[in-house]
Amino acid sequence: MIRPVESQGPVATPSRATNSKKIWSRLPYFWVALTVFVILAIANTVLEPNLWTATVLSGTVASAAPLVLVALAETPVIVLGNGALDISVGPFMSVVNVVLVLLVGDHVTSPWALIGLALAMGLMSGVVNGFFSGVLRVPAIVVTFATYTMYSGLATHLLPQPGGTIPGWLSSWTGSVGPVPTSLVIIVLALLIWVGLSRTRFVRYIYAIGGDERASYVSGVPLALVRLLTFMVTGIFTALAALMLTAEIASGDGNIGTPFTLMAITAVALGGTSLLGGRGGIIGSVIGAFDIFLINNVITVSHLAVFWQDVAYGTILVAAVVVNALTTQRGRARTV
Amino acid sequence: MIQAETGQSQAGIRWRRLGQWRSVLVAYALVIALFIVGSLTISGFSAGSNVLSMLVLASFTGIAAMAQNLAILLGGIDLSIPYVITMGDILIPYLDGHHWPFVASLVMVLAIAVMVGGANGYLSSTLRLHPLIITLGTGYIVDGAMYVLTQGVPSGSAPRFLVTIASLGSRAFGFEFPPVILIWAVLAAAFIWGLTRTKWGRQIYAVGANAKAAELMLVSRVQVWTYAYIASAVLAALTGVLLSGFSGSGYFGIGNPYLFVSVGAVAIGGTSLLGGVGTYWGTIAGVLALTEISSLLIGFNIGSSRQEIFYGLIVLVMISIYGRELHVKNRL
Repeated sequence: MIRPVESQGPVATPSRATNSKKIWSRLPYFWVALTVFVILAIANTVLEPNLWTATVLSGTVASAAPLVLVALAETPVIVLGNGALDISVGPFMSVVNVVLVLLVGDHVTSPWALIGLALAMGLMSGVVNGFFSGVLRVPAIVVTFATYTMYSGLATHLLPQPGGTIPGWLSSWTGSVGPVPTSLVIIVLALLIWVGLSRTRFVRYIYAIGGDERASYVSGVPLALVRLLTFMVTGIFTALAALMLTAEIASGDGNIGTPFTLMAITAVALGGTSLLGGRGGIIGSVIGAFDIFLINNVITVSHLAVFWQDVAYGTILVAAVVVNALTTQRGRARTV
Repeated sequence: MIQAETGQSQAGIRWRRLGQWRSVLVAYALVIALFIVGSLTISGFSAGSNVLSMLVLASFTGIAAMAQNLAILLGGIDLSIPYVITMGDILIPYLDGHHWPFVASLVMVLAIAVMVGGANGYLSSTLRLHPLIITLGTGYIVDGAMYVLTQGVPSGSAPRFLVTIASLGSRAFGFEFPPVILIWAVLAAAFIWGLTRTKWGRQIYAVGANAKAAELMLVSRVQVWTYAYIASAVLAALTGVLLSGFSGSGYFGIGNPYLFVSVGAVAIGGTSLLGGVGTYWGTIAGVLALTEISSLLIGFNIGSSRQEIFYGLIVLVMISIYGRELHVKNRL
């Protein structure tokens, strides 16, 4: 167990806080991600001056939206701590994408049916991951790796060749409502749902377990139930990400979701959420996801060889996490 | 875990030891059971050539799992393993194409591995970061560096003697089997000896079980993490070097499957993902079992998509039978 001894209680905080009243101790946990965001946004504006026109902007937000939503989905599980995370999100997005396209091929195009089915699939996936890791206490990384393998097999089994179409209402998700990109509305909606949830005891329990599992157990937090519910929430938000992804690519592809797993985890970590659990939140993840998207964008518009992409990801990730660790207080801040 | 034992009687401790070995025995029973199932259902499964090819594949997985076992015994994980494997697999043929002598390119590969592993272990232990994220970051950098270096097109071919060591059909140096199996066996023996009989190995168990208690016994957590992760990266790089001999030239993504398989093998072999408990004996059983399962699924000839579905399902069932962690009330 690598949990730091100092961070196990708020007791250690005052002494540290008094002798180091640094400016950054007052900054929000996601300030590193925000700084990176500002720098990248400026770089993007310089390289692509028409970025801020309505059409370009709504296109940009729409193509960033699937990553933003899946990063948001990944966050609650990571806050649970002790290395809990959901690796299966990427291939699960492929499964939802493929199922939707196949149903549209069978003339099922009703928004209620398709959205309902996608969310129900997300719920089911969450129940499976949450049951094995929360109730049976199998390490989450192994459980979700197993479901990762199953989903990626399932998606390519259902749709061996990419193809298919999507209904018009779904493609309109990439457009805009008046001056506001539709995808932004969906992201804000997801954020509002989370803000609503975070007023409940359930989300406080997630942070409690991530902060100190033993203390929450002896205080009567139902560990297994909270873990199960957390994975279910992750599943539902991942399904939403898959819907957005399907709208964006407008067809089906059994391998389309796979890279999203690592990108989502990277976005969450960039956003200042600790993988040790208990600290961080979805605002950081949303900014982190935009960071990753902007890195790609900068590389594309600056005509830099695409091979630099992974080097840029890695360097920014390590640097951001290190700076974060060096500057944030070890106390526990409860944030949305 | 150490805390819990101090209050117990000698008999209690002995019972716990037996409990640890029980999961290893179950894993070996599984290996035998899978072998019997394979021999009964697929003709040629138990033939010498198939057993040898399974052992060759298991050798690569086994060395990669050694690397992962070190990280997991500390209660961490090493996500850079697949990328370091790919690095070794790409760099050896690439440098050979640029007329580097093998020894020089091997030194180069191992030096990069030492840097990656050192960064992984040192950064995650001093900054108290989850190693998952640091190892993912360094992995991205290594992988990206290979893309930049080769411009996305791996070139060159592995030196001839590496091919002799690691290819499926080779019978070299007077052995009746591919020499890579022997390399795995020797490395495994050294690894088990190192973990159980040397100071460094025991320090890994101590830090993994209870870092605070270990610090009180003057075992430096940062030092142990750093050398364990260096060893992990070096073993991963070796896997990559051997793999370049197996496939003859470099491939991007060749290391990717080894992430899941290495973690899975370690977990099936009874090593706790919380750290401090487990043996490489168990991991060997995990490696053999997973190799048998994929060989079985290929033998059933059901297509790669359905293979993946069943593979995931089998791992999920196996791990929930005996890879479960203790309830927190038993870890207080």
